[in-house]
Amino acid sequence: MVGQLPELPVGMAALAVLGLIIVVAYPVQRFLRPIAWLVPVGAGLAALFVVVALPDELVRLGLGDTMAPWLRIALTAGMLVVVAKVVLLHRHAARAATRQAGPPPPRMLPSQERALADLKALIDDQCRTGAGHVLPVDGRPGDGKSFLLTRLTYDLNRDRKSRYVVVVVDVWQQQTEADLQVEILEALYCHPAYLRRYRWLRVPASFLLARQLAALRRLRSSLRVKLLNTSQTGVELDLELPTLRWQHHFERVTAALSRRARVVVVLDELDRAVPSVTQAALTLARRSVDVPGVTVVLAYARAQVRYKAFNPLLPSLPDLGSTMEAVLYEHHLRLPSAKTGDGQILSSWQELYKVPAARAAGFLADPGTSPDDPAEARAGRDSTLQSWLRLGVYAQADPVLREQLQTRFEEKYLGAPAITMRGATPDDVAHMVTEFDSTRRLVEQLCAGRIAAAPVPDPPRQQANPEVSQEHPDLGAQLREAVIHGIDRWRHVISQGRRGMASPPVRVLEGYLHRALENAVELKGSNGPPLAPEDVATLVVGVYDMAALLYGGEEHQ
Amino acid sequence: MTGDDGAGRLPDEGAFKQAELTEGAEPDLLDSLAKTPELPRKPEPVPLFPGHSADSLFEQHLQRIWETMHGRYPTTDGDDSHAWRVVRGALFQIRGVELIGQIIRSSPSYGRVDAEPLPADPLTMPMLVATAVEQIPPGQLVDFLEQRLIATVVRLEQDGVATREQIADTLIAALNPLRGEPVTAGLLTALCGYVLREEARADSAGFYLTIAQIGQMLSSLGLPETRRQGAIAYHTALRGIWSGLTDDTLTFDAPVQSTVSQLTSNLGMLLWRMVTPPGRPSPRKSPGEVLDSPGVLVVRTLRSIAAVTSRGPTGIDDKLRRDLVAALGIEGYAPELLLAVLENIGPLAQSWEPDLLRVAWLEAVGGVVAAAAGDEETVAPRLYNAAVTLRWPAESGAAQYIRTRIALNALGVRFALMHIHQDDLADTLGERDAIDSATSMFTDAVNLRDSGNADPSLWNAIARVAALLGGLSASQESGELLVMLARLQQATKPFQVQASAQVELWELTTALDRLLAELSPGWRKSTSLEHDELVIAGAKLLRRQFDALIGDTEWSLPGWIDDLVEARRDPRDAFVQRYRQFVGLPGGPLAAAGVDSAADWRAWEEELRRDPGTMVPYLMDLVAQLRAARSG
Repeated sequence: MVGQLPELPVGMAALAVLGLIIVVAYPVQRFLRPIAWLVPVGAGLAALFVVVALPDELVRLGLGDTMAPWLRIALTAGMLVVVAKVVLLHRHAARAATRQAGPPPPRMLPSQERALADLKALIDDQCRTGAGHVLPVDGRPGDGKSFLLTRLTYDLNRDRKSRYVVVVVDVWQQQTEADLQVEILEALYCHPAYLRRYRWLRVPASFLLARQLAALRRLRSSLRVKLLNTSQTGVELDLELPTLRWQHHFERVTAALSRRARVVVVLDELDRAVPSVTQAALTLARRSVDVPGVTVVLAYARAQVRYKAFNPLLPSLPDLGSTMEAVLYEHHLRLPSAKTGDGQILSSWQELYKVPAARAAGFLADPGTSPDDPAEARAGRDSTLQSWLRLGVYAQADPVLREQLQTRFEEKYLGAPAITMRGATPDDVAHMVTEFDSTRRLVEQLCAGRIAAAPVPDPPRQQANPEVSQEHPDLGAQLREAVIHGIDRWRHVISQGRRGMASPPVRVLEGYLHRALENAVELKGSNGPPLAPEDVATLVVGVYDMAALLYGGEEHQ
Repeated sequence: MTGDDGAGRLPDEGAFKQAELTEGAEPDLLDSLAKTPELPRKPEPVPLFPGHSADSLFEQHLQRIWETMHGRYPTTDGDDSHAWRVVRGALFQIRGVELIGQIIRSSPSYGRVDAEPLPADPLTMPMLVATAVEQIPPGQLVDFLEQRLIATVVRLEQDGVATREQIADTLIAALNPLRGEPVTAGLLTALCGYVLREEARADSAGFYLTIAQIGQMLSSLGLPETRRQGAIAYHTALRGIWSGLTDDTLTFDAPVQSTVSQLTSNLGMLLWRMVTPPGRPSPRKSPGEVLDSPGVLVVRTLRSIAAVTSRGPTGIDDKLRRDLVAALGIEGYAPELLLAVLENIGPLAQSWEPDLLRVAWLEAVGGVVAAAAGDEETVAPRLYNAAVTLRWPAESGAAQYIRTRIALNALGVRFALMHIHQDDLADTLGERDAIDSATSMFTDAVNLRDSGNADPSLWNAIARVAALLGGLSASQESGELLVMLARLQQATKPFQVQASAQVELWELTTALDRLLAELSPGWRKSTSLEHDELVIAGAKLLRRQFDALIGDTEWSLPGWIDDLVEARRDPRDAFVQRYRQFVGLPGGPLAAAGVDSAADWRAWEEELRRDPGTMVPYLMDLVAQLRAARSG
């Protein structure tokens, strides 16, 4: 006779296992990466057993039969949320591990070290005030902005007990505003400081599908446009999809992080993104000023950002566009002006008709010809006003006024640059020549001497060039001095003429320097007499002058 | 006279611009022109960068750096000579034209114009320079370029009042005496990129005419690379005009139409040379082979656009048109449309027509139509080319072929004598490319005699012409003219006649009329033939000569001419539709013709579009090279 086996509380057990998985999930993801995949798989299986078995077990324990279906639905929803969060943890932990695995950045040039120190000091100052801030970092392409921010991130994140949570977002890689929003939040969610202490459970489960939802919204937009364009019947697919409440989530995550640390969001490559994403980045940065404990560092080339964001002639995001229109409106109609004559802000739309310039520009229709539908008439007037401000006021402004207006647009979002990268200084050039491995080896071949290594802990230095046998302990110092003084003297000489001398971008200079030194080594030949440090410095000054002439520009004199 | 002339100049080059310049700018222009004769006689003006090329300027710049670093200038034989060579060489290898331009711009000398620029505003500058270089003796051209033009370009670039197009027009005018000189290649290539920088702002035919002129100057240098660059420049201009027309920023007015015609004509001729092996009349393997190679198809398309968009022979009244068409035996078409087509298809009829006899006939007809239009300079070359084409058929050694060739060249010389002055007989015949026609005529006459088909009266008539033309002497020291006259005199030797010491114009026309009457009995022996009568007589002569060769009792034009005549009713549409195929094609017509791949074309175009920033270093280089050539 076989007795009936007691029914095992599988659901209860699964629930307990799930709880255990949640407890150990982060440590496993953090320290046991090879088996980290077991966490979401285990959580999924446990959740499945909970959903299948637990309601029946609860019924057996006395829960009413009628409650079972409702309980199953509730459990299913709850388990889905839990599993989604575990999957998100897995994804975020994997990303955090990838980011931490990067090699340390190479040593910096002296001017970059100074800029880095300034930037850290600014962040420290803001850390004490507690308010939100934006720190713009301005510089030309090749001036080393991205390198500076990489180093900043490395330095601030290196200390495990750091007071900073630094995340870097490459704006250039984002296709749309929604992508950018998701990327910023994800970067914060991925930070180890957020993943610890079960904060990962606060990540909204819907975030798992955030990018897919954003893609669906784009698809919906294009579908709607296509339907409207092709359909004669005017059918419109109105599919409302949930949007990411970015500001809400951003405030939550930064509030959680800023209890123990200052949150620093670095938005890099701002100027390389498409205009809409550049505008979105600026808008998000500006909004973050209202979030306590957050510093946003923006790296950009001013001329590029002016064109892509602070340009009323390009399509703009609504808030940025309306801000620029407000500046234009205020500037053109409020200030005493010969064009308006009254010097007062217009109190109503109708008063705009009194502005001779607006009528003359042909942007205003006769008030009597307005459409009958008030809503349509209002929309038409708004559109007309916008067109007039952008095309009638801004586009027709003279260059000086346009410059003033763009400066005012900028002030609303960026303010003055906190750090301005000014290209390679003389001591930077000397540093390149004597410290950079690639150029130093070439210089050593030219001078037939070895440059004494500077006391640099990282990166590891390479072996000295075997062709260079003669020791020359003072060579490095002599070269440094010759280069620095040479550039200064040459600057002085040419300042006697018409022009000053702008500093070339670091990247350009490095490329030119390497090519010129390679040419010189080839021309010298293996048996040619060695060059004196002054001769090599002459070559370096020639390269510096060349790069400055071609790429220096006019603004940084 | 060779086929090269067919691609030739843009006959109307500068005409539109000159018309624009004349309007509203006359007082300034006259004022400026009044000062022109004094230009070369200025008392020793100091050049801006005396005696420097771009390289020497860069070297000087490096020497200043060296001096700053070492406290002394580098020497080539001192202790530091090796180090100087290394430093100088290393930097020279990475310098570029942009750098030289920047050095010049940043030099204190650039702002301090030591030499005096030409006194004119940018609008009138091209005409002023054109006038100046015309008046300057050839030996002083380099001085003018160095002492005045460089300073002028510096001033124009520095003030920013002149557009690059205006500066380019000024340089083109200055380079006119150096047309065909390979030493100008570098400057012209740079000039193209310099002007194309402003392509986005082009809003008139004038801009594209500037590009076309640069392209023409490049292609006329005769080097393979400059021919390609010329072709790219032509296509760039045509593509720009096409885009302007299709987006309505350009109007298809007379200047645009003429520019399109000239550009397609020149580009077609240039491509024809590229797809045609040297020494053959066409890329065909045999006379009957169908002309369907890609290159020929492209050339045909281009030439068809040229024929359809040409302004047509002007200055022919209706009566002459009707009489001319009747004399040629090609009635049934609207005369004004037909004559315009015939005037233009002649030079490359072989790209359409497989029958070489008909090709020669069409070429000859083009010559007569040009004569009717008063375009004396192209009549003799066209008839000469028709005679050359008649050398290609297998039967070309037959007496009738030789007599026709003699008749064509004699007619060419006869037309070249229209509206000519006694005093500059040889010079004008040289300018109208008629001397080679005469030489060829005498050579054929000797061949005819050698074949036993020259009757004494014909021989005597030719001998009389030989005696007269053999005595021609040039009044100008033109090397090319002297060579042509030497060849002519050599060709008259077999006639064993005493060359006339003094050649009278009436004697020459009478002798030619007699010769033409011997060759074609219908020709009227009279010296009183007026222009229109001469044209009709020439047309009838062609009809008789080719009638005898082709043997058709009823003349009919090839079917493809119908299409061209019809297309002339809407030349804008013809251009837009026919050129569309090249606009979006990577590599343009050269790729379509199989001459270059699209990648090759892109590389060439990239080079041609490279903006040098300033033209000053190129001018300095040109001056240095011209001086070196003279001293060498």
